[in-house]
Amino acid sequence: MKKMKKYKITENREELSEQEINAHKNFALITSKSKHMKSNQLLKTGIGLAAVSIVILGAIYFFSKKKNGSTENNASAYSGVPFSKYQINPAKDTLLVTSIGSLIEIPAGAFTDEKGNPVSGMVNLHFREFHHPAEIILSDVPMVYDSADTQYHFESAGMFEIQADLNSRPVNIAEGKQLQVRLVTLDTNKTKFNQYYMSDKNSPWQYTGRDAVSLLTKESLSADKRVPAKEEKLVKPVLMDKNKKQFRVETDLEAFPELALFREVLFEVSDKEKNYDARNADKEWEQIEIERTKVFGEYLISLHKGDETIQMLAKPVAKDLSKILEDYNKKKQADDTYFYGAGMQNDLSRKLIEEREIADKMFDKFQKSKAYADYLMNQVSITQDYVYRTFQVNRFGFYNSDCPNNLPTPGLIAAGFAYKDGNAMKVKKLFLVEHNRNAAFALYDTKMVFFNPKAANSLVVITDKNEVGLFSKEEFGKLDKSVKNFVFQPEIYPNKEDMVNELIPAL
Amino acid sequence: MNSLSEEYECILQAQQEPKHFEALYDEYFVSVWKFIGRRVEDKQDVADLVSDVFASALFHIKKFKPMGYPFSSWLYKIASNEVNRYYRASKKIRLVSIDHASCKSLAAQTNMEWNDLKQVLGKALHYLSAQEIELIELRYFESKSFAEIGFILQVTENNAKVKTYRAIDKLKQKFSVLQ
Repeated sequence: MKKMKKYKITENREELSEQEINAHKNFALITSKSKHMKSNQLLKTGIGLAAVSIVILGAIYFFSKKKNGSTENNASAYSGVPFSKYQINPAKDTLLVTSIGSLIEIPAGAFTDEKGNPVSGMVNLHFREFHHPAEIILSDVPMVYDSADTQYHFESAGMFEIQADLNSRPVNIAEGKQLQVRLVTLDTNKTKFNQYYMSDKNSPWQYTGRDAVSLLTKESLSADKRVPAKEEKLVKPVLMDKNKKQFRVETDLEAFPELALFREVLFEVSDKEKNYDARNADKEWEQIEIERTKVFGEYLISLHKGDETIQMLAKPVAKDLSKILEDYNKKKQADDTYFYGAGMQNDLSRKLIEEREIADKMFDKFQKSKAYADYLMNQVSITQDYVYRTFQVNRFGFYNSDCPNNLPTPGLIAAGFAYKDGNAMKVKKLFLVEHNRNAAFALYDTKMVFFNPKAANSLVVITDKNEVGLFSKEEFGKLDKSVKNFVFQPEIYPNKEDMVNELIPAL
Repeated sequence: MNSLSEEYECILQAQQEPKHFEALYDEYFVSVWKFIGRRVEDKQDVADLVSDVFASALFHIKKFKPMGYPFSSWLYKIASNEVNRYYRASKKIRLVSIDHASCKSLAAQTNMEWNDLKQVLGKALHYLSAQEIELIELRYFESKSFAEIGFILQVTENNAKVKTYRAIDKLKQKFSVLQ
């Protein structure tokens, strides 16, 4: 087989003369780049301290809001991407599909408490994903990566944050278990990106490995048998027949969630068992096994004692129907709502109402953010089928598919900022967005705008009044590329809750 | 800069006051350019990488401690990292520049006649890993000592030596097949 050429080999390549090389010297550029690195680091420390407060305040806000069963916003000065909240039965395999089609696969037994013990009860999973520079900028996620003492800026192909709690107490991912997130990606480049992890905004990004890109068609998604949400059924309780034999079996409702409506499960021998010996019900058996059959609501019961084993088909029955039928009817009514595949617990009806409220709120939010949704859906539809970047999640925090870059060059403008009426604008944060790649460069020295003249660029500013300003790519495009000093007059957007949805279409 | 002591004096001054870094910049600009220029084809990319190397060096100058290597080795170490990062990010094909005049020691090491080596070297290099290429470049194309190579590539001197000789063995095997 012919060996692929890994390198471009040149022999006796003509080098530039010293004079030609020296013509490229520009010590002013070196000092300004270095100064930028310096302010970058200082500000990063500042951000670190601020982030501690944000995280602590955020946590208080996060958990206090959760009691109301609503979705949460992060606690930055301006609104970022809100979390979506899902309720998970930790005893079951679960597959969640986010509003734009990303997939979160959670294996049974994935969560433990702080002491490492498996948890029981509904786990709240909080998830938000970032695909657009506006989402990253407004959510205040640091996008600087340190490697060998050098700082790089991330160009993202998709990022998400995942957290979880149980009754407002943090949970961990069990040792040996991992969640799998297949994040819809808008950049389908297969080789450009690496994966990085950050535990919180105060911690550095860590390289975790090469990126994995995969294609999943909508058909294969709908054929995925692990989607439990619409499959979930409950066995309708029926009253026992006093003329037949029943026996009580201790039934694990986590293993048989379809029996959750039964407060005490009795099994009654099926009419199909013509040769059943009624005396078996009176014997003492050492071991009893229950298995589902192909017929929903029918079970194969195996009774063991020593070498003796008998098997029979049976169905679950109840002694008293009045209370449990009420629960069952409530469940049937709610069955058409958005339901995340969570298993039924004892407080079934309360949980259903809560979930319905959450679904309503999510729908409401979705309607409000139509511009945002349209943008994302348009982007996704370009790829025909869903293209995913797959992440293995074994701890909570931020996960990112990124390519580290230096600041754009060689354009450099000494910048001033003013409102449209000419009054000076105090800029707290400044970002350069390069439109041909999904990168938001944080320019920590707000008096210097580094840019690539060959690219389409925008500037996003956050003022001292927390206003968001945009100097659009059209305006940037009109600038004389050789200009050295310029006063930018960004369009101001007043701070409001759904700022992300305003900024995405404008950017 | 005529002597190491003069260079060290200059570094101490730059650590106190960044403007003194310009003397070091002037001194090493051409050699860093050539170091990167042998590894990167596009002239604009070379210019960007060189400015990144010096900006990073100025930023970290206070951390610099003399370790018995020339100041240029520290710059080459930063340059090597920058070049690797550049290829990781851009996915371009790595450039390897062979200067025939500086390959005599490689011919001696591989027991080859230079005229024979010339015929096969370009093909055989494709069988080396990125780190092996760097080792061959530094040792045989740029005549660096193993101690300096170890410093630049952040491995021990002994490790640099072992890996270089392994790369040479690999080349010898390929030469025998390709000849």
